[in-house]
Amino acid sequence: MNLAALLLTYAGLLALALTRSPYRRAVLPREPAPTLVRLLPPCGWLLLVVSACLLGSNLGWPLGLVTWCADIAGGGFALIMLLAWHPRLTPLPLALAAGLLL
Amino acid sequence: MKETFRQSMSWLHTWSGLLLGWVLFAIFVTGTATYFRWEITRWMQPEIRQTGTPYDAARAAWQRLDSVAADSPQWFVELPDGRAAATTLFWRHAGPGRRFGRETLDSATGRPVVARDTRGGEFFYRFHFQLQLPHPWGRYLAGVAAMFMFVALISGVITHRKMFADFFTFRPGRAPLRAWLDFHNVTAVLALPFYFMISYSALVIFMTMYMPWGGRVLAESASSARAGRPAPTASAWVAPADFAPMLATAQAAWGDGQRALKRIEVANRGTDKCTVTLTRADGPKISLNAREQLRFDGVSGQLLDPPVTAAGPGTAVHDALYGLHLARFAGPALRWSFFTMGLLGSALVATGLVMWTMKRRARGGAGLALVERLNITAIAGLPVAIAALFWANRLLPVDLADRGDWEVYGFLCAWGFMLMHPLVRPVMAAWHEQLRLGAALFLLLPLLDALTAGPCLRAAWQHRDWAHLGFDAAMLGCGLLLHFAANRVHRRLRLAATAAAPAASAGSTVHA
Repeated sequence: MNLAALLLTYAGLLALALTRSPYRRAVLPREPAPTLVRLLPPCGWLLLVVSACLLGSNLGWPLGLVTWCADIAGGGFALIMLLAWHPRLTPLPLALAAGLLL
Repeated sequence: MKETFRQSMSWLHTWSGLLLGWVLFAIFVTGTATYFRWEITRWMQPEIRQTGTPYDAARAAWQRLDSVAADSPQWFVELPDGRAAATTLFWRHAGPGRRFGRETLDSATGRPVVARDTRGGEFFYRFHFQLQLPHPWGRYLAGVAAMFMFVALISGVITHRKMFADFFTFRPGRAPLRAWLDFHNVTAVLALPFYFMISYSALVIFMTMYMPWGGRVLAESASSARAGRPAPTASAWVAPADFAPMLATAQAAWGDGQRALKRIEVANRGTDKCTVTLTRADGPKISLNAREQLRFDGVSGQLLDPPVTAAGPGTAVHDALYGLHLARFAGPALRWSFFTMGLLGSALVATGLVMWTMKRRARGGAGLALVERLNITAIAGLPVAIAALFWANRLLPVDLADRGDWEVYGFLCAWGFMLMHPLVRPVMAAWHEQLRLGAALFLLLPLLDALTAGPCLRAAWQHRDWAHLGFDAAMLGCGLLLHFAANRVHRRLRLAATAAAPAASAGSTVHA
């Protein structure tokens, strides 16, 4: 459950990163439709909120929010390092974590 | 005022970060290690292995204290809990003054341990806020460092113009200063709540020490109110109650699982006010006041009602912040997250210190030379010193007197050498050599562990003791990090050498 929250946090941050065109060019094979791009920021924030709610309901709000902050730091650091050096691999953690969960 | 607000904040950020940056880096690194305090102790005392339940250990501890500290007014026992493997006893010696005895028991045999003497993870914990300085100066220095960090955080947030727009910005390919600034920003913004929490709670933990006046006034009014009471008179020794029923009560209430009995405290032994307090292992509650306890009358053995604590909101906030700082509530996954954020914080301080010199390298000067050398000692030298501590733990003879102290001397000597070394070497070469030395010491540590503590390592593998095995893996990780850092410096050195060579040959042709 906590891994699912980390996954959602990472996905949310990735969506927010993709709102900027340089990252879209680096990560995606081609530029997505403008409607899709416009949907990215609300989707990203929504994913972050959902992960916070998931952790809050699962661990209680005090510990849930602490864990959420830690997830943002850890997931965000991994994302930024991947964006800088291997941008094509940024969706990989999502696939790995999803594989572990299923 | 000539300068803008942001410029003056930038100035504040630069100097508050620099002035105690070296101390702050050491505090950050040792504090990060402290998250694994008990695991470090277990690696440094590989002979001790936990067997049996905490209740068995409690019975053994009680027997032992009955024989070595029968006349003591106060006992204190820490029991093994899956992280810590040994049982630790403290007792206050009878008579005036505050003198304490201390012993570590093997939880399997109930006898004093036959293990190497070491400070273990306690060293990092103590160094984190006392810095090996005489009391109380270490704590004051740590407090000033925490205050400076708090100032640097606030001024840094104001200085950083595009906090959210640049959230993901890290461009390692750009000009060095730009890339370093990116990394500084990334490490800062990602774990910003953690830094605010850790520096603020650090101040709150010792607030009665840093700002004693309010507490003093309260104590004075309380003591004047208490003045009417008669002083306690020395009386005959009152025999304490049997311990076994209390232990049975605790075992029935808490079970044998992960969160079993953790601490025993016996206060006012030998008087009719004797109490026995049993504390349960920390659970996933943040605040330190959330501890579950059972209190017994130490003479009759009766279970007492839980004390009515009139804790106001101030105390509640204090205990919550204290709990957040120590992060004892964290399970393994969250503990690793805190460890990672601690590393990010160390990187934040280190990049800030290095950037100060990068911006001023063109100008030169004595101040720059000093800061560059202190940076090397603080950032590249500290890992060498920590590795030296671990090497000393494995290499010093087991029966050496004051062995634990000698390990610490090893740490301090190694750090001292790292302070001297940049004085006789060029700056970049000194960076490279110290990073490379640290990498080698950490990477070889698992090998040394296998050579000097082979049976313990084999037993750890058989019992799937992840504390021991994980420690060796973490040391390899630290070694690899330092190795990559050394490689980057080495590349810079080579680039500088190839740039200097044609220039030198061009210079010589001109002279010819």
